[in-house]
Amino acid sequence: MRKILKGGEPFFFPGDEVGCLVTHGFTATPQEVRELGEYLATQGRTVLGVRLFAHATNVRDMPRARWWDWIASVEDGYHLLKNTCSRIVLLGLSTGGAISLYLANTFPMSGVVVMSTPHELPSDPRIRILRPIIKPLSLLYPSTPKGPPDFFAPEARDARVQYHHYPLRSVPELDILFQKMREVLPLLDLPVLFIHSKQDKFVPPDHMEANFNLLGSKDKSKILIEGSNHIITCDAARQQVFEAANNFVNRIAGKRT
Amino acid sequence: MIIAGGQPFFLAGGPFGCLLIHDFATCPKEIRWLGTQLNEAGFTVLAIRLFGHGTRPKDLQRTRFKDWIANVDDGFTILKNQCDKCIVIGVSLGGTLALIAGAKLKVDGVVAISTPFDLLSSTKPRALKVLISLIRIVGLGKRSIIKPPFTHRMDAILPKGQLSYDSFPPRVLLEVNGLFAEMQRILPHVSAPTLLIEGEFDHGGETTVPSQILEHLSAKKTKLVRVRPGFSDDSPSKEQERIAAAIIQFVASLSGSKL
Repeated sequence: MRKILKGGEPFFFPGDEVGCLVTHGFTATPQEVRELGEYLATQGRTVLGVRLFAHATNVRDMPRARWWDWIASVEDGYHLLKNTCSRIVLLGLSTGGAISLYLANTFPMSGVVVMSTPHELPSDPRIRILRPIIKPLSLLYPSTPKGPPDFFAPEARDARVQYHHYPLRSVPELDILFQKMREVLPLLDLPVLFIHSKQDKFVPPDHMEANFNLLGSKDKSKILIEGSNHIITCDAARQQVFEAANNFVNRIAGKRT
Repeated sequence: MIIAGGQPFFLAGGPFGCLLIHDFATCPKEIRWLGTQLNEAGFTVLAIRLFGHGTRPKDLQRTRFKDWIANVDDGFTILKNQCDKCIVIGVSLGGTLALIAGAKLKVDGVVAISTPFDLLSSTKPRALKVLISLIRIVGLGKRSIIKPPFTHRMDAILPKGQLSYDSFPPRVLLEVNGLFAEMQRILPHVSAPTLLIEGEFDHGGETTVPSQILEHLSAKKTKLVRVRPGFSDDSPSKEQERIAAAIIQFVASLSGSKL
């Protein structure tokens, strides 16, 4: 019987009344945001890192996943935290950031930290050409191998728990999810912090600019870091990300919303 | 996305944790009564939402039983992060998952409430056998939604709320069936102390026949408790109180455990 990938399990650290709900990215696992969660927990926060549906099991589970399943996975986390936490801050990496922004429009959240989050599907020409036939195509060609890792920190590369393929069937789901995110961005009015790496080759920083500009919130800020790939919570500059996220959470914690 | 009543819930309490698993086609709200009573007794309670539940019946089309096992795995990990000891409690199909957890995870106890041994013996066997074969062979109803062709007799001791799906895709019956097969395979490997709670009229009222699950269990500290079924819809009913009391007593009997 298949289990959750070792190291890819969800995590929970009990703490104070400020709940940090941490969400990993597409085809990744809670492992990529665990160190961020541990950092926030050492600052006294309650931290829950959820596992998105069909992640951290087998990549063959992914074609069954729809975008609303991933929303529901994070929503589950919100309901678990809200009984014990008076304020909830969402922190999401990449696709996790898009889900966090979407949920911030549905539930009373205190703030969102959006890390390496795309504005739309990557502008890979293959995706643009294949997009109309991708659903039938995914039946014949379910997944495509990921490219070589581009981590600055070799230990981050070695520790990574993830799928090594991109499931084709998920592309239209991501497309809809980013579209939903773009729909809610102008409607939001809560504090949001964007963090992105200058050297993010997978999702270039102009995606952050586009999200930032579309966001309705008055209280919004952005930080551009250096020396990191797309996975900024794991790569060489992660400490900088943890501190920025923690400062944001501290500011929210001191503020009644 | 999640409908009212479908949300999982967490009730903070002492260092002893209870993971609650709801029944097929129902949702966490249906076992809120049990969570509340266990929490009042000092336990930390986490009631998970099984995949495909608490949203819309159509989502069960895409559900595989391993998704439910993964949900239990997740819930147990989260609960174990804050509790020294954890038991897993499930109602009906949730009990099937609890028994599987009893073999796969390092749980300190298992409670299966009104859990049948298999799908067919608990329902109308012939009609269901035919239906499952039709789904399997000709792909009947791969996209359709049906009203349940049977009533779940196991639920006699629990009041039926309005929160259950009143229909589901027949495809998911294959998964329910598969889950029971997995449970039967794994029963001899359940090592944790196990409590089986049954209504007196479960299994067609043959109260003298011991549970089939009991026969296949190898766990040394296995206990079978029968609860007189109630017909009251008040919450918590006398029967619900008896179920909660039996679980609390079970936990107290687990050696070395303190509340």
